[in-house]
Amino acid sequence: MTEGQDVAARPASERGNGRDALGSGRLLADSDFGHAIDANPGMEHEAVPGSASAEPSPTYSYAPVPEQEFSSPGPHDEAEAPIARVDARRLESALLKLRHPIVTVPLLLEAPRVAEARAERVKLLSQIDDYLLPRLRQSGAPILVALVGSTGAGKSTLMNTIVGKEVSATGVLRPTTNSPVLASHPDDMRWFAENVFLPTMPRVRQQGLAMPGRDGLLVLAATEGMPRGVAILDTPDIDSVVEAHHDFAHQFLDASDLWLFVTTARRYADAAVWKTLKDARDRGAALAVALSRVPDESAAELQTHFDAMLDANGLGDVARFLVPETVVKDAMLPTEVVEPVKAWLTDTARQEDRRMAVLTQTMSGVLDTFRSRVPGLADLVNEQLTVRRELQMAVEDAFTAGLEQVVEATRSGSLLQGEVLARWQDFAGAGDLLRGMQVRRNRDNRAKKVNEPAASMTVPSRASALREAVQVGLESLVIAAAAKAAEDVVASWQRQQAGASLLRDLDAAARRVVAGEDFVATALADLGITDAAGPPADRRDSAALARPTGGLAAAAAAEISGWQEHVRELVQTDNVTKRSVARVVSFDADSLALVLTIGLLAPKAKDEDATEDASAAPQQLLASLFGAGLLRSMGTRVRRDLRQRVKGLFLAEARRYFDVIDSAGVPDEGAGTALLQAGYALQEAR
Amino acid sequence: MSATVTTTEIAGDDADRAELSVRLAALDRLTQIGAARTGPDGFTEELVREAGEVLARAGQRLKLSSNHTVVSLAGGTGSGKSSLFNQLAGAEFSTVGVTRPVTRDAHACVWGMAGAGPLLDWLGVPPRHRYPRASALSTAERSLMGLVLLDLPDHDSVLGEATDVVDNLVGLSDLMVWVLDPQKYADNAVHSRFLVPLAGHSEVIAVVLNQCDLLAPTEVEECATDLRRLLDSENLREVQILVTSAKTGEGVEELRKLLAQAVTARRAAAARISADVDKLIAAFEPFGVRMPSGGGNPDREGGGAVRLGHAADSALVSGTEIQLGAALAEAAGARAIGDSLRSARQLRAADYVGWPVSWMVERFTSPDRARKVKLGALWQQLSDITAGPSGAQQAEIDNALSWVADNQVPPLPPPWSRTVREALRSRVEEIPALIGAEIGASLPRGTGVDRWWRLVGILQGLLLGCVLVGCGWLVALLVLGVGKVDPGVPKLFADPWLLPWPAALIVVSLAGGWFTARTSKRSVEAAAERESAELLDEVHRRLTAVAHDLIVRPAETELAELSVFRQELLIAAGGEPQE
Repeated sequence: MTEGQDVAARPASERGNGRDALGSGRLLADSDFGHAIDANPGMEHEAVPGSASAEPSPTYSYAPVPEQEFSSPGPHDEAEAPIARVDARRLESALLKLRHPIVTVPLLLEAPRVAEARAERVKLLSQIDDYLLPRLRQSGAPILVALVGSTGAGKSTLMNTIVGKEVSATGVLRPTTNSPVLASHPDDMRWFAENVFLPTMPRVRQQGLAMPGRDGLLVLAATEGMPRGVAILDTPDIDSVVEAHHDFAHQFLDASDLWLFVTTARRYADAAVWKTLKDARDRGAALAVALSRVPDESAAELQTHFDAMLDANGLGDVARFLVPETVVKDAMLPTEVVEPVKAWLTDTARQEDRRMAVLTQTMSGVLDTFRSRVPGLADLVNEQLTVRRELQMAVEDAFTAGLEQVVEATRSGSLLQGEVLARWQDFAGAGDLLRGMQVRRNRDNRAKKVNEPAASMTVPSRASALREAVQVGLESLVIAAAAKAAEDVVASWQRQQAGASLLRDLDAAARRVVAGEDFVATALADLGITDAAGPPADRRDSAALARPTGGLAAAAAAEISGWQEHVRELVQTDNVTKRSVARVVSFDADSLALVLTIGLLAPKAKDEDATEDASAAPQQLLASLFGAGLLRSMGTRVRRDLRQRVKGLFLAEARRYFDVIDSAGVPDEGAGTALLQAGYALQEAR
Repeated sequence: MSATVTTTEIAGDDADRAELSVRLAALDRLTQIGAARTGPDGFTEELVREAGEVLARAGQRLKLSSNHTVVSLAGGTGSGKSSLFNQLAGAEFSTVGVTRPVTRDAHACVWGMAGAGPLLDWLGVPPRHRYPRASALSTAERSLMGLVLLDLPDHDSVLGEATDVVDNLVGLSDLMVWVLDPQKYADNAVHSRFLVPLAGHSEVIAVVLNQCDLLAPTEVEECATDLRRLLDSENLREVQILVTSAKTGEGVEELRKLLAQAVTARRAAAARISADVDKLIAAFEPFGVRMPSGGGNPDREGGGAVRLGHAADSALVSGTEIQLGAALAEAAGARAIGDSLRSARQLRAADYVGWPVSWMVERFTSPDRARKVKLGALWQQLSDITAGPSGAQQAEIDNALSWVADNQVPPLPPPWSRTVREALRSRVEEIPALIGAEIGASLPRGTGVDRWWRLVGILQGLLLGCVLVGCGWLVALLVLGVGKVDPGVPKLFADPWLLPWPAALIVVSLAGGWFTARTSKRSVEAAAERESAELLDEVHRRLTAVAHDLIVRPAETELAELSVFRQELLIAAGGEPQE
């Protein structure tokens, strides 16, 4: 800050040693430098301060020499012998190995930070594809300087002045630059061909004067005005209302070696400016800052203030330039105003140490950020797995609670209410039970088995009504529990971002299906695949998910009658009645099964006073018929069977939720680990 | 009202304010309705809070000086707000500087300080930053009487707290003047953060393109056109654009005129609040739309107005409570209770009207094995189980409620579909107990023994007596008459020729008893049948009432709230309530 106001553009301290100006001392050890640049084996120079600056640069060629892998680590004199270098190929292959898990990273669910993760993935990929790999493969390419800055900062004007020709359109409309313009010496233009530089970006070669390009098109301007070995890229703004420009600009910024940040006297205190500068600082990229449109009369004051702000933000050591506000003529500033900038650029291109320093700093900086960003992405991937697990847990929890609800209701006696209780009262009170108990006494025991089918037909109507009431009661219980579980699952998903998004997708898909359904149904009917009059398939939207499936009622009915049949068989086949009782009386299996069922459903008598209760009767009856031990073991078996059946029903109900989760894609559980390992491998390879 | 304003202005002003306070009251009720129903599917906490803030702000602003119009100059760093402020104020009140950011606090210049104190306190402008502009009033200055001009801090500078000050004051101003400059007019910071959300506020926004001295006249034209295009694309078509230069004073006079107009009209405060209300109404509107019955898109008329008229979705499907009552009766096992009551009746009646002889015969021919296995006590106990209140199956009640929610509720916009569902279930816990009580109340009282049963019982006793008498007579005749045991016996017991009489008596009594028992049982059955049917009817009636009180009414109360919501929405939107 010693130079006066008369200096139009003032490179800070880089005259002495470029590396200081670039602040690389903060970022790199010398060995890092060696690693990063190793792709160019033709280069023998080390970026050691003071050692290499004077040497002329040899011709650059891209031909890695394998022997270098075996070159022993040199002694401490790094200027003499090559230091321990890692083959660029090793780094390249490590990068490619890292690239794969990044591409395949499962970001399927809308977890809270998935947008961040997706953006980070795109950014990592663009840094690998657009910068690191091309740089490793051809380190001889010109240094790409990106002009970064706010809309209206004068980036295009600055570029035109440096080039000496209007290559980028300027104007008073904001944002001015819609398509980026890359200017380089014609000899260097081959480096920016489609197959090497930003392969996905469509580009056009500029013919004649600058004209506003189409959005999203890279304009290549070959001009003799550019020094060899350096190319300038005029990027779209980072802060205008056209938000599409921001991502676009960032892609270019990631692909460049050096940022020349341009801001103006009027907006250097903008929040957006400092956000970008901090990004650059965190990225570790080589950076220079130009403060343009500075009114002459206040240059000193502004300069001091701006310097103080840079220092305060940890950017005290970047190169800086001051461009005064002057008359713009033919889209250009007076040449002398930007002379320092141009000289600095030329120097950076020509002086090998400076060039190396820039490349090293940026590449190392980017690779350094991978140290924390790759694990960061891995964390986000693991978060995905956690979210997936949470969604599944919500389903499991809801249906487990539903199952417990059913089991509890069969234990607590709450099922022995309403219809079931009334039917029991009718059945027991009317004496049908005792009549059933005696009905077979008059028959011969040997004839019992033969008469069984006929006997079941003579079951009194009260018994079958009770049996039906039990069946209906249990069915209702199962359906109510399933309905509650379904509602709980959807409510709990709604509370989670990922779940809510799954449900939204489902609804959107369901609307599409409804639109296409008629067509499909007709087509299928025509082909004879389905019956046109067949029942419509279950609608699969969130409203349907919050209810039990249409088939549940039928399935529950089947399972419950299956269970009742099981109880009946148990009573019938296991010669269960106490021998002392069996000698005298026998029951028909239906009545006995009913008594057993009611006995199970009745709450356990807590105290003796409860014996008056109607529900105590079947238990006493059972106890006197079967004996306590047998009753207990039979009760356990019957309960277990009921639980198994209900569980089976609920598992079938829950399946569709798991299907919905899986419809977003089934992630690879090891993705996070793979990413971490590749990240470590990359850092190892440096 | 200041004495300087004309009567027509007072009238217009009053009408404006009266209408505004009606709209605000409606918004208040909308907010209350919304606040009771917050959730992610509608009435977000954020929306309710925002509405509360607007209401509070509007209430305070309307209470404070209506003679003053608050105009804020807002803009990015270096756009020349302070220079413009000083130009308008005619003095160097606000510091102008080259280094950025300059203005950190809001400054206020007040034309006519009297009564502005509380307003400035409310705006949060510290006294040291208030500049009275009361003296040396020229004609031009007089037209600005009542203007409170605010110079806001930069909204986009690195100083984060300044942005909060801007947010706050932009919310409080009656009229907002956004100061842009050629370099920054397309900045995302001002457009996406401030201008786009203010899309409905065109009436109380003006945009100034300052520093036009930096551009050539043709460039100014080009620039202003582009700015116009940008604002149009942001739905700010009505917003006026002024081109000024604080340096040369160009365009400042027009700006002054614009301010003078706003000040004399005294409508800015009301217009501003009105625009705020409009914005909230637009946010509330989706929650009041009518859904077409077939699902799909909400039904709207042009301009987003809610269509009114048919009240199809303000009530549950008719007959719901009857069906619900039936479902509850089912859950309570009403039919089973009826059946069991009938059985009990018949069994009980058998004790009175039954023919004891046939009972004894039955007892004799099929011995009670239960007694032999010591189950006699149980027999007794089971026989004592009679019909009684039996509660209800919770699961069946739940299923009935789900059925109502899925099939009987009209299609509703998002938050209401949820809240109506909740209302349906709001008293579900009380239902089983109440069902039990209602069924208990429906059951017939008393012993359940009819008087004619006793008469028949007596008759049966008499008949049985006859049988016994006949038997005795028969035996006596056989012993005394046929055996001629003792001649001193009356002829009645000794004449063998009388034998057919006792035999006939026995036969007739037996047949009579059997016949009486049979016909009585028929009658008992018919009576029990009738009683059971009556019970069922009674249970249905009572449970329909329960369904109405505990299920349908809460849901319809909620639906009525929706109707109120729609009415208030119309009022708040400035329309007339319907019906």
